[in-house]
Amino acid sequence: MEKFMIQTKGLTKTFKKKKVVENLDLQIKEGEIYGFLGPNGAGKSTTIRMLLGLARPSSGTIEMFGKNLQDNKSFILKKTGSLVESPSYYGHLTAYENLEVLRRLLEIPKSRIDEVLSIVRLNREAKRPVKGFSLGMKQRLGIAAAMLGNPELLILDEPTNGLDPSGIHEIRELIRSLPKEHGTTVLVSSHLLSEIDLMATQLGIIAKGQLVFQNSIEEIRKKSMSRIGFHVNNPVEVKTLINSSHAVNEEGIVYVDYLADAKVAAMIDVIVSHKYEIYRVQEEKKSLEEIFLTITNGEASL
Amino acid sequence: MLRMFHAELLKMQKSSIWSLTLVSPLLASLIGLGIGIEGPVQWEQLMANMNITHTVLFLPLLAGIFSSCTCRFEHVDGGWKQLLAQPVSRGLVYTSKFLIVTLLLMLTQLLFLAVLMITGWIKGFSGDIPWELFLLSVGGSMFASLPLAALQLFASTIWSSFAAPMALNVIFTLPNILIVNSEKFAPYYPWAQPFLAAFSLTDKVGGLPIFDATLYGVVVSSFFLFFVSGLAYFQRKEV
Ligand SMILES: Nc1ncnc2c1ncn2[C@@H]1O[C@H](COP(=O)(O)OP(=O)(O)O)[C@@H](O)[C@H]1O
Ligand SMILES: [Mg+2]
Repeated sequence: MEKFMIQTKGLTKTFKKKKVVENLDLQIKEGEIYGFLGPNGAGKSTTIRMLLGLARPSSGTIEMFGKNLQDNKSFILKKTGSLVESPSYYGHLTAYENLEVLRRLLEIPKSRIDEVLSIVRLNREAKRPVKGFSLGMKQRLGIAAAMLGNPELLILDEPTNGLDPSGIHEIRELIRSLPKEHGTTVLVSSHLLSEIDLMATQLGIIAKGQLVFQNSIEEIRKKSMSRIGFHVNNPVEVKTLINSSHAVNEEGIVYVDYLADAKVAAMIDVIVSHKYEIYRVQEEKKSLEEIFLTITNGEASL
Repeated sequence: MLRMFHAELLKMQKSSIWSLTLVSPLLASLIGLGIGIEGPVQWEQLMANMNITHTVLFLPLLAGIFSSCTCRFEHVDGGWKQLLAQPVSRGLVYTSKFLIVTLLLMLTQLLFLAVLMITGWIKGFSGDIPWELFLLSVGGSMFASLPLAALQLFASTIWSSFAAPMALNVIFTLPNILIVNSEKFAPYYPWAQPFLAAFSLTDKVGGLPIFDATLYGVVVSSFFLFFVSGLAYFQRKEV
């Protein structure tokens, strides 16, 4: 049995008869970076709020750390750090004091505040009231707050929202380093495919409240997602010759689904032995973008 | 419990809300200084005069302001999400907030007591200070403001705005001036209770103060009603 850090079964949330999250079976393994991808309004934040006990599921169950959330809330939340939607902060307090408020609840040493502040590179701004911070700085403070209690599980809802490109890069690198350096499991949501692509090892796609895809990123990349193209002198005849149901002739190039090296060699052999000329053989990777569009049936905003 | 309270305290320490505790005692002092007081019961008269604006108007208003303030920081910048995702029970969060309100009201009353003494001293009163009456009156109106504080905290957690519970409070505080005169109705009106409590202890029988049984019965039971309802609501609130 594989160990799941988060496992939901039939998780559903209804607002005014509208199913905002429907029958979600999330499975998030230990040590993974789970990218939770979906267009705006798909139900990501609602799902995350249920995982943190901020909202009650209308039906379904949530297990985290192998325990039922409802009955073990304190135990689970003690090991979980979170950032939900826009960052939360006390504007009249300094960055340091904001973290001190949380530190008093978590009962951890004061030195941890300086640690997390330096992780998000806010140590120089520590003594300034947060209301004067830029959105990016607030976001970084939110991430520092999420990491304060040395959580085994980190849940970050659109953590790079409002950051500039260099800020995005930094946060991404930070998230990527967490499983390796601290053994942290991360659930990170985004509406941007490119972002999830760059940090996640597992992927869950939610569209209109439903989980339409869940697997490892490796897996989808492998899954016939690249194809081999043959530039030949007579594409029409070569297509017939290859006689594979998946062979297509696009703009004079004959494409077949991904093949292992030996099979490509064999196919070249066949084509050449029939006296056709091969100018070029190329492997074309479909972009993840295209793959997701296929999976989500063209939900355009991904 | 302590760590939660400790955390709440830090939020409040750094806000300007503490200065509000001084406003009403100082205004009362001005009134006290302005009026002429003669006769044998100078201290009692001074307290009565200073207590009127304080308990009819300011104490009810402050109970509402303090309650709103304890929730304000969470309402404004998404603080509830962060606070309630910490490993603390919601019951503790709510109770800590209420304790902060209580603490602020206590501070207000202590300042009132201090200002009362100073005012009498400035006026050169010579008689003995009626300690028992002072403490019972100041403590009584403090105690009788707790149901209102609980009600206002309830309202402050329902409405995510600072203004709505405040407006409610002002609307119900203003008719207080009339309602405190109604013997039948006033004990049941949370906004009038601080005033009644402040003035209900002036009679004595055999050296012991008489507590107004109806008033304190209503105060205690309505406090539990409001506090428990607010707590139950907060336990289920989605943020
Ligand atoms: N408290 C609420 N009451 C009613 N509808 C809500 C509430 N919260 C979210 N929704 C609706 O649920 C849907 C999903 O929202 P959300 O979970 O925030 O999506 P995402 O985070 O993926 O952008 C949206 O259509 C939103 O309007
Ligand atoms: Mg969202």
